[in-house]
Formats: sequence, structure tokens, C-alpha cells
Amino acid sequence: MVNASSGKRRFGRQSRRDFLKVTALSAGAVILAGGRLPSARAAGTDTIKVGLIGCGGRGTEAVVDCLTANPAGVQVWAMGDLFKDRLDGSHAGLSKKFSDKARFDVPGDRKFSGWDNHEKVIASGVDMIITATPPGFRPMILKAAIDAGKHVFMEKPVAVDPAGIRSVIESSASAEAKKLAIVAGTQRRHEPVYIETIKRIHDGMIGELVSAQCYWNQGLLWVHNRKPEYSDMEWQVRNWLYFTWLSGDHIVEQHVHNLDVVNWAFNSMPALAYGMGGRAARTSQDCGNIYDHFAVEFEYENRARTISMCRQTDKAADRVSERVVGTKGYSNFDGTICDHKGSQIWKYDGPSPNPYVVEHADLVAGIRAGKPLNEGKRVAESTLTAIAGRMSAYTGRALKLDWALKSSKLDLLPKNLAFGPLPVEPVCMPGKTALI
Amino acid sequence: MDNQSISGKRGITAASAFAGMAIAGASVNMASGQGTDRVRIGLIGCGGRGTGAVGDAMSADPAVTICGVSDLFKSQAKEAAGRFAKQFKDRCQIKPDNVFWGFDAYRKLAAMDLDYVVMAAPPVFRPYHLRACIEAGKSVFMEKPVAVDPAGARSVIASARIADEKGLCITCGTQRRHASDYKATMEQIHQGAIGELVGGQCYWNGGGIWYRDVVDGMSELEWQCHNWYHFTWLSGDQLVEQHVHNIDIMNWCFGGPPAKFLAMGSRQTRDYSRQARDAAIKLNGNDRKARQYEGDLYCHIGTEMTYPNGARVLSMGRHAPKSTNRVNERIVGDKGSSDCCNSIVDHKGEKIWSFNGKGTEGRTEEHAVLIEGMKNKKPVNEGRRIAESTLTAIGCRMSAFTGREISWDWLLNSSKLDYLPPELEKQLKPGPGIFHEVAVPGQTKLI
Repeated sequence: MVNASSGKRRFGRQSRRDFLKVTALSAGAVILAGGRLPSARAAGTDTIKVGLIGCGGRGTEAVVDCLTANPAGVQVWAMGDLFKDRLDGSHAGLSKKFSDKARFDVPGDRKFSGWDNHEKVIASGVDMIITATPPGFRPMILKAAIDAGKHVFMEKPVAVDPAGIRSVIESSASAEAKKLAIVAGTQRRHEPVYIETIKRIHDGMIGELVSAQCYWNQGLLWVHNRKPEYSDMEWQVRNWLYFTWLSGDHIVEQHVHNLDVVNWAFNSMPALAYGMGGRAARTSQDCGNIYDHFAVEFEYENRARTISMCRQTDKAADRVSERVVGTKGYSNFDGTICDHKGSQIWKYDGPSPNPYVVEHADLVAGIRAGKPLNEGKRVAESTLTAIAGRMSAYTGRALKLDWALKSSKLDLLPKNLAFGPLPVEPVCMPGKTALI
Repeated sequence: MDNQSISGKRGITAASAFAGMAIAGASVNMASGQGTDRVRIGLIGCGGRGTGAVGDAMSADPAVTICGVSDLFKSQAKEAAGRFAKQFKDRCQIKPDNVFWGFDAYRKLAAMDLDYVVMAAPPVFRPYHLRACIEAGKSVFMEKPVAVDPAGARSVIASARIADEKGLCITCGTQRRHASDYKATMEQIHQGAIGELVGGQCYWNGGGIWYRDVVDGMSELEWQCHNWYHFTWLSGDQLVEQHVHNIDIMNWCFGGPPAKFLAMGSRQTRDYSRQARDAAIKLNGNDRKARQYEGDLYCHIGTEMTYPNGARVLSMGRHAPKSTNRVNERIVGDKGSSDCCNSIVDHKGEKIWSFNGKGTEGRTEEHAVLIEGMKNKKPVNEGRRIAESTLTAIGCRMSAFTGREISWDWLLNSSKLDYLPPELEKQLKPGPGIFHEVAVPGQTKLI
């Protein structure tokens, strides 16, 4: 059962022991003696104060995940959103759920709206931010947080264009130097079945990687209809999924999850993207300027070519998964590895805790132990992979990821971030859209 | 006009086709050339490919003579007859009575006294032309694709069976199957040079295709048949019309068609608004039908084909301007990979095998093999195989058009899609055309 907007799968209830076991398994997390919960008292800090930037559905849930993962020692301290109604709605829900002030203490003067809300949250006395704004704003918010010395949990994707990717990579390097944590919302990286499968792939169980496939084909998502009182900017930001400058298009916004898994298996980004895409069914103006499907071939340095497909269309065939193929076998990341005759050669038999919660446990544990996780560059590379696929489909041109990273001048962020007129960029297409 | 073509098949005018042909009587590589026995052929579909195919037949065997021609259009049929006479002199034996035109001209040609028929009309008609010729006891060379829908593919499979029963030959225009380099490479692959097949890719991403204007005197239907590429019911869409070549190579590797199809595509780079408007004004005096006249093709379709052994293969077909083009195939095994036509490498990129033989051209070979089969009474029959490759391409298209995942089994046995059922085919005459809405995945029904 896949939740449309976030690909969440249902996870069973787990024992505390399972939870701790999982925390220990996560890449970069610290193994704790005696199986105790990560202590709130470590690394010289008592409570970690958290600020939420971007109070939509995902952001609000990320706060819940973080507090669930850390029943003590983490306190929501400030909240910010461009829109006051979103801020208020999220605040009301979270206040109800977390009545203990030790976990949630956000009075009126630590609630911020407007274009500078992120700066105010960052300056309000927090140690860490959780940010889930539209992706177009991510690089700028990440930079502000790292510059101010705050740890970061940020949703994926982390940028919408090569300019944003470069900024994120720079911020990640700065975070490394300052010993700041960055965990991004690619939760499969914190999921034991994936971690264990990839471990065996890296150990050679399926041999040399020769191909892979990954998919995010699903139905339509929410649409935020334009109200007469909205300016162009307000409408686009509220309806952000449907504008490439805000979401990156769905190959970036959603499919990055699957592309990240394939990159993880190959231990690198691809070298080349060669794609196609368009708007077959979702063609109305209400749906902005994004595509509704992409089919992209990525070629890795070792010459393996992979299939990436993503689509958002109702009543069409759905599929959300990854598959990696080597000389000795393959895996669908369903807990098994098979050889080319179809016989199972490995099976995962461990717990399946909720990775959305685990990622926050891992984040905080790393901070406490003085070994902060930094996923910034890795998730930037996976995001760039998706962006390159999009750029290839938009222009019809094959393109090297190296070129995209170093030389592409594409920068979609409007020069003036303010409510007011903002013409919608035309839908891109080969023959009309230059590769820049 | 952008007439991208790697195989050189597209955009050939009648004149250039003749210019490229070998002179009659020049040395030929494969023909049996037995004495003065003539091989009498007829042509259905006198466009560039059809007349080119006659030239290929002429090159394949000095005994070949062209004895009759048919086309939808009188001007095309007469022009072809005239050029053949000029070019082939006494190897052209077309009497004025054996020049046919009209929607039912093919039946008259099939009734002639011939050894084999060359067919190169728009793909939707192929199953009907094939059945008529086989029933009349003629062997056939037919262009690809051989159908535009599952109904047509089934008809071709049935005709191929009848041909077997009658000892007739069928070869088809997938010329790579007769090219010496492809054949040698495929033999290596089938003998295990790259081990178990685990993946692959095939592409026909090109620039675009012609759009033909209305010629004076044409009815709407006749103009559609003249501009056949742009209507799925006539051409099958680029995916079937052109990309079948590459899909056929994948089926060749795996020894048969895929089990499942998952595809996606859309149409937005195709813009024939200006030409369509001109056509509408010429035909109707107004532009009300201009949108329909643009046709209903997609401009790109990307498909994942899953073969019976679980291997997943990427297929891409596209017409797009100013884009990166690619027309080739690649097969991946657990021991290496190959470009299917002359080279095999291991997974480190080291060469395992290279083709070093003499390159033979597939297009004359297609005819030589057919003629040899007839003469030696060892009939060659490629009918079922090309029907399967055509149906594979149709499956990719249908999956993209509807957004649904499709199985081979369902396509072959259950789909009811039939763009030109027999009752309709019998009634075809100059007059109103046949138009379909552009498909919308999730909305267009899977039939």
C-alpha cells in the first residue's frame, strides 16, 4: 500500500529493542552500549531546540517523526511558513499532539510568517532546523542555517537546478567543517532491508552491476486551485508541485527517492542522462508547466545503462520500486536477492521499523555522539541525477552530469521573491527549449 | 523537411530510388541465376520504398522481371510503370492492362500470373494484401511493419500458416536479419558469448518525418492515405512504422517477443498546424478540421519490455527536432554486452569478438533468399516472426496510449483493437476520411 504523496509504506509496531537495533545499523550511527536509548545528556547539550521551516503536510509530519524518534531531549522551539494560515494550522495540530512543553513550546512570538520567516526561525535560538518548504527554496534555507551554525533535517529533493545543487554541495562542505549534521529525507537510506541489501551488493553478491530499473508511477496528487485574491507568486507557491522552479518537476520532487537507491548501489551518480517526457494527460493550465511522465536512460561510468520511469496519471499502471541487476543476480529490494535462474540466494529477516522515524533518531544520535551525519553531498548528487533526467527530457538532448554540475547555468529562482506578478514559464520541449 | 533516416529508407523519392539501383544484369552475390527461367514479380504500393524494393529484387537475381504494378493512385501506378520500363528495359514486362489503381487494385494484381509480389503500401493494408496474394498462390516480399493492430497481426500469422501449407515463401523488410554482420554477431550471442541475457536497449530517436499536402483531385480519405504516416490507423505510429526494426533485433536476441509492456509517451513536439490548415482549406474551404488533420501520432514513446526470462529491456522511439538522435540496439548478458551487429565486449569493456567478414547488404538479400527458397522448393517463411515483432511494437504503443501495463498473451489472444475491420476495408472508396482522437493515458480505453 503506497501513500500517494510520500510513498510511505505501512510499518508494523516495533519493540524498543528492534528500534535500537535499527538505530545501530544505520549508516554512521553510533552503537550504544547496553541497548539504552540515546541519552539526552551527551556532547554537552541538554535539549536540542528545533525550528520548523515550512509547515505543510510533510514538514508537520517530520516534526512528529522527530519527536517520536526522540521522546526526550528534543523540543520544538519555533515555526515558520510563508503563509500564516499554514503556520497556524500546523501549530494547532502539533500543540494538540504534544501538550508537554518540554517537547513543544512555540508561543506566538516564535511563530513567523512572510518571506523572512526562515531567517527569524534560524535566529530564534534553535539548535537545529527541520525544513520542508518547496524544494526551490531549499538551497537558500540550507545555506542560511549552516552559516548560522544550525544542524539540519531537510526534505528531498534538495534543489531544482544545477545552481541550487552547487549551493547545496558548498553548504554541505561548510557543514562538514563546522561539524554540523545534515540529514535529508531519503528515508530508504535508513531502512534496514535496503541497508542490508546494499551491503551485500557492495560485497559482490550479485557481481558487477550491469543494469537497473527504477520507477515512480502513480496517480494524481493534490492541486491547490487559484483564488481570485492570489497574486501569481502566491498561487504558484501554494500550488508548488506544478511549477518547475518550485518542485523541480515530479522526476525531481518524487522520483529522486528511487534514483538515490540506484546511485547507492552503484556508489556514484551516473555519467550520462538521455531522456524523454511530456504532458500526455495532465495538460490543463491549472497544472502549471510540469510534465506528467518521464522515461530516462542513465548510463554509469562502468557503461551500465538503467531505465528510470516516472509518471503521475490516474487510472494508469502504477509502480514504485527499484531493481538492480548484476552479473550474478539481481534484487528488487523486497528483502531478497536472486540469481539469474530465479533462485533466492539471500533473504532479509530483520525488523522493518518506520524509516521516517529512524532518520530522526539517527540524526540526533549522531549529534549527541559528536559524530554528526552529513548526507548533503550524496543527496545533492541524487537530486542532480533527477535534474539531469529532467533537463534531457525538456531539451531532447543527452547530457553529461559532470557538465550539468560544473557548467550548466540553469537557475530557476526568480530574482524577486515577493508577492506579485510572476508569469508562468512556458512548458519546455525539445526544439524550443535550449540546454543551458 | 527533416527526413532523418539511418537506414536510408525514409524520404526516398521515386527518382532517387531509381538512381540508387544497380544496373540490370550487373553481378549479383546470391542469386541462383538458373538459365532463362524468369522470376515474375508485381508491386503493390508504388511509393519510394516499393519502387526501391523492386530495384532490390532486380539486383538480387538477373531473372527477375517486373510484370505489374498497383497503387491507390493512378498517377503513381502509371509513373512507376513508365520509370520501370525506362530503367529495366526488357526486364520490365508491364502491359498497359497490368497497371492497376484504386482501393481494390491489389486484388487485381494478386490475380495476375506472378511468382511473387512486392508489397509496400501503408501498413494497415498489409494483412489484406498478404492474404489476397497467399490465397492466389503467390509468394510475397512485404515491407515492415506488417500490421497496425492486434487484429492485423493475427491475420498475418494466419496467412503465414496458409503460406506454409501451400509451400509459399514470405520474406519481409527487416533487412538487418539478412545482413551478414548482424547474422554473425547474433550467432555468437545465441551460442552464449555474453551468457544469460539480462537486459538491453533499443532506440529509434530521430528528427521527424514528411507531411504531405493535398494533391488536386484527392478526396479526404485519399489525402489521408497519401499522408499516411500521420494517422495511427494507417501507419501504426512511428513506434510501429519505424522502431519495429530495433524491436525486431531485441526479439531476435531473446528468440521471441516480450511477456509484458509498460510504456509512456505523448505528442507535444509534433506541430503541423500550418500544413494541416492548408490541407483543410484545400479540401473543405475552411480550417474547421485542421486539428484533426494534424494526425494522432505520439512524438515519443518509452517502453520497458520484460522478456519471459525476466530481463527488462528499454525501448525508445521518438521524433524530435534539435535533439540527440540515436538508432541502434544493445544487448546485455551476464558475461558481456553487444551492439548486436559487429562487436561483443566483456563487462570491463574488453573486446571478446569482432565481425571480420564481408558485409552483405540486407535489402537485396531479402529477395535473393526468397527466390532461392522458391527455386529450390525449400520455402522460407518469415511471416510469423515479423508479425510478432510488429505486434511487439504495437504492444509498446498501446501501453503508452492507454497508460496500462499489457501482457503479450492478452495482446495476441484477447485485444479487440481493429482499425480496419473487413466490412470497412471492403467499402473503402474516395470520400470522407477516418479520424481518431489523440490517445490520453488513463482515459483512452484499452481494447
